[in-house]
Amino acid sequence: MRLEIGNIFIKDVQFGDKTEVKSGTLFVNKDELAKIAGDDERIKSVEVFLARPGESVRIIPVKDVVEPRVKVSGDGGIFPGFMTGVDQVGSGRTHVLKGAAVVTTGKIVGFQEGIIDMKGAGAEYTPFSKTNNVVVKVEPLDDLKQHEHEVVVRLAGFRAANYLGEAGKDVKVDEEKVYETKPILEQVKEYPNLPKVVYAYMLQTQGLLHNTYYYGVDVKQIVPTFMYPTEAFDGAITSGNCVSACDKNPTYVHENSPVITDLFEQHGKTINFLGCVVTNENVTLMDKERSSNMTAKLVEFLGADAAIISEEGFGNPDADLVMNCNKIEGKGVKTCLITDEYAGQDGASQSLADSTPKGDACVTAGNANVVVTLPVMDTVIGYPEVANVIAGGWDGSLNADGSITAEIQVITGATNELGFNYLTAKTV
Amino acid sequence: MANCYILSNNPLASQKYGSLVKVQKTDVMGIYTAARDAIHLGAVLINHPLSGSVKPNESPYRSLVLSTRQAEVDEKSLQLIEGAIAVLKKLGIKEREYPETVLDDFQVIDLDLLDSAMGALPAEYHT
Repeated sequence: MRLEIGNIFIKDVQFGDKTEVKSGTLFVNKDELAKIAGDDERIKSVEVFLARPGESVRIIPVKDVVEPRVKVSGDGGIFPGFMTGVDQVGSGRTHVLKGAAVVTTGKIVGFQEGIIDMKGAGAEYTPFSKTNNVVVKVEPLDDLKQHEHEVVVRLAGFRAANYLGEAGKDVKVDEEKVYETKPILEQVKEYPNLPKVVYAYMLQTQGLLHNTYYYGVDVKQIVPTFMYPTEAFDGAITSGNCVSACDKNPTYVHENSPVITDLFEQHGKTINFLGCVVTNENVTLMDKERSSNMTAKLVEFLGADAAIISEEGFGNPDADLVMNCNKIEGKGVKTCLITDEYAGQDGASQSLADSTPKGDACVTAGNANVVVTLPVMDTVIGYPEVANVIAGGWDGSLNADGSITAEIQVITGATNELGFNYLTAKTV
Repeated sequence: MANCYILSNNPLASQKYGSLVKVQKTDVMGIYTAARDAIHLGAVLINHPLSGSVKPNESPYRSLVLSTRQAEVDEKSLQLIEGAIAVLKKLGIKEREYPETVLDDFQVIDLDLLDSAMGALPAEYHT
């Protein structure tokens, strides 16, 4: 499966009469976007705002972040199963408005988290302070129940992103990338002397506000399956996961999975990247046993020498991470794990809820319990009062002057477990 | 007679699952310790006690599914419940008054996580 990615660098976003890309600026017809995003009888109103890097703007609570993309050629469309049919995606050509993002906001449940600051201390923790954001605030009809509300906001974000993505279809791109994974027997032959690597891609899948979708299917209802890596670049995996802002994977992160892009970067140089096994993080222990058994079986069957395993979330998924590690290692395949930590505000407590001696190669994306103060912003898009009830905040997190003191778990993407974040360790 | 039951302090759980629910008027730590007691008497834990990304010190509600089995201690269940208790102690209890609407949201999320478990109940627990 071969995919060409054409990146169109977006350096600014402005409202305009027509939605188009001109000289690196994305112009957005506000009314047209609001109409398309709001094309759902369960939506009462949609408001559209712009938030650019460096502006004194806070977006709270953030539900999802989505990157505008468009299929120029090849099967299917962006976000298969939701916005288009279910043709296999990941081949042909896709254009990306690199540097632009759709951010959806709106209260779904009272404790929903997610803060993006475009300036100040908070901006240092979120990658989405560096994108030119088109913020879509969705108000559903009164009395819409939580389940439906979540669907409504999620789909509004996808419609908005695909509408903006269309503007890049015929634009000359600034950067070309080509990614290819061959069918397994050919792929193994291509680099016979390099270690063969499979990526076990764990997705949060437990229930309302904790779900992830693959081609529109709720991933908790699948058994682990094989995915060509480029499928992710066309939006095959989408987020319905609103909880735990710091270490959930927004749809944008799936579209740009740093694990996949880094593995491609080393493909043919130091490793032979065979592909991905998509797996879930379910609530029952039997489901966890079944899925980790299936994942280990697939990794073995693909002939991997090594596997990267990434986690999404904390607590319950730590059990899946450990099971995947133990069982894949049990097949004689070396593993490297990616996770984050809840090690307490002083960093002194045990980081994960489960552990294994086989997890001796582990990358951390940071400690979510670190406390930070986010300064006052001139503009707040959304509802600042949720700072007191979101995970990582507490009663009194929202200070009288409008600043927020909370753990970095409140910041979207702060400890992202695919490594799509800024925290790092340095030797001093 | 069912060979599993639900230990819960979530009013929505008892509304939906009726007599299958052993209602506990307690907090999350109370649910965990009641589950630990049952596990010491032989019960097997069916869903993970840390289900959901909503941290145990954030949501006031928790619903756990356990077997009615009385036999030797299931070591895995014991390890999981002790691990959950350790996590809750580590994160610390946050004293705060949630508005009624937020409590309702927490109940809905907990019920949905419980539904995920009941929808995936191992065959031996089907009645």
